[in-house]
Amino acid sequence: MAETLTWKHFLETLATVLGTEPSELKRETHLYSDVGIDSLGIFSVGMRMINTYKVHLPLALVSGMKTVGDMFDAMEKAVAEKGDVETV
Amino acid sequence: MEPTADFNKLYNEWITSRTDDTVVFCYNDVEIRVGEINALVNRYADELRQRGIGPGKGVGFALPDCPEVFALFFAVWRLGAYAVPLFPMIPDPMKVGVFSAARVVLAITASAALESLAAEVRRQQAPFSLAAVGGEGASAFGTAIPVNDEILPVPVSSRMPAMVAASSGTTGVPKIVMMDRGNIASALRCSAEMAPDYRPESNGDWRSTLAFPLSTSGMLVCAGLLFGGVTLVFSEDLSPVTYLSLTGKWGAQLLSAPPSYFETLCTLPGIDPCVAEKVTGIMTGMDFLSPSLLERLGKRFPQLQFCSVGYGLVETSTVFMVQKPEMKGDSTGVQGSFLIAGGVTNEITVRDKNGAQAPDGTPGELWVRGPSVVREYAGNQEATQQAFVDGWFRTGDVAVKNGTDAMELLGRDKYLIKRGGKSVSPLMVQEKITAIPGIRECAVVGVPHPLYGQMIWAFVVPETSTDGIEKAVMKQCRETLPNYMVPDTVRFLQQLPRGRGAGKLDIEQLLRTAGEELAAMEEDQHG
Repeated sequence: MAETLTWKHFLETLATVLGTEPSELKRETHLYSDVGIDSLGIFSVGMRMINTYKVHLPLALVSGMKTVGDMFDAMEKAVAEKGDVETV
Repeated sequence: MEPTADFNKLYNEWITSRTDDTVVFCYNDVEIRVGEINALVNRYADELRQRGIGPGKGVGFALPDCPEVFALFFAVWRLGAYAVPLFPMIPDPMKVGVFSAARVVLAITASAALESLAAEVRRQQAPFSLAAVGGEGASAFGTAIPVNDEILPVPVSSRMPAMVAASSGTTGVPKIVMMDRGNIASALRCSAEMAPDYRPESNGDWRSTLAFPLSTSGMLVCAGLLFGGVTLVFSEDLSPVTYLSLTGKWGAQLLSAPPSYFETLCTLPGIDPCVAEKVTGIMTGMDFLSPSLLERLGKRFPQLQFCSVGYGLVETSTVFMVQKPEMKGDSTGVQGSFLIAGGVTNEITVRDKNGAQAPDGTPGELWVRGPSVVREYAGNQEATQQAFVDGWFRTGDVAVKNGTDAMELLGRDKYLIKRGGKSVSPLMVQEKITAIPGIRECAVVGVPHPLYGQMIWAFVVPETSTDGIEKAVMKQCRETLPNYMVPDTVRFLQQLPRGRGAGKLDIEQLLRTAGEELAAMEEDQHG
């Protein structure tokens, strides 16, 4: 069962994976410099998002992400392509 | 560079064989010239000396990749002191613990990280002072002191300590080594051999974009390339997008990164043809470079015609052998022997299980001795006796020797998780997780993955509920472990699978569980 993508739910999911609080994550938070994810860890986060929202997200897109906002935008696009996006 | 030359001699040769306006770093948007770096080294050395740093004194670093890191290392070594470099993403309590154990008298961090590190230093009542770089002001550490070019010479010898580093070893328990000045001079010389052609008088003919953290291994390899005439292109931002952007901006022909990073590059949707066409070579290390990866890189970078792979361990002061396979444009291109890096008198031998010399062509354990090899594990006599035998260091790696100074590497130790070229002890991660209230037990395993080598999966058995446990696990690991040791995935089980008899953990069952889940995901994505 896919979760519905909203900014709030996305942040809660991301915070769980990162072991942090949603309030510490902003759109501009840099996944590498601010959060400390490495070039491999970003795929783990991407996999979690794919599982949570049941979307198709090519690895090529994941590896190009730099910020929390990049990731949300990619997820939003992937959900929209799936056809059940909810306005945040 | 002479094989056993001291760092100060190597540094002075590097400075004097170039004009002050030779570009040595392209950092983000700026070019940095040898004259500027030399002035910064002098300024740091002067200020460090005024803070009591000199022969036998330790200086800790925890800094993101930036040109100042090079200047600090060089200043510390010029003064005859030793460096204790740590990843900046290591949690503060661990930084302070390591710096204290390594008996540094000064630790240097980025300005933005100073306050939290200072709080931890006070909390642990650690016996060292702190300084920061990257802040406001004309001086390195906030005090304006004129440049002094006459700091040297200070009395140094090749046996004086130069760098403290941690080895994970084959048992999963970190061991501390002290590299001396002879070791780091050898490491710099060996690393220089990784460049397409060793031209110490240049800088500018070859430009290479870096994706190595500038701590122990990364620093020695990158400084070796620098002294070997390669201009280094880098940023504190290690994201693949920035990496390729810098490569294009500065016209780098070479890419330097661990194999796992190259795997990431290969997943990018498209690479600007202007960048892709310009790259002609890669330099790598820290892990195996697979034929498949080299082949895929060749498709991404069609002009690729040079590849070098460095091999070494912390106990050998990082790189002491280099493989430069002939590029054949197909997957056979990575085949080829590792050769002992020229100019340094290291020796290798391959031994059987009894320690007897294995005939050429017969697999055995690779042993090495020479100027690159450290003397011992600090404060660990038992581990020293096991690993250091009659002047030889037992690498734990399996190899076949081909002649006097060549070998083919067949495998690494099997006890550790190898994630992205770094060794991760499952025991260390498990210890942190099981310390969390509400967790009964856990098992941490390395799950094979095409990008990661292995990824870290933590199988957790909660006491009762799983509520909040995943977040607590990730929080605990991020706060207490280096970022590359943080689990990639957390999964819950009602109990861990165990074999009959002694109830030994059934790791194979856990790997099957992980494999099935990954396969199902793959099916979802492509099916």
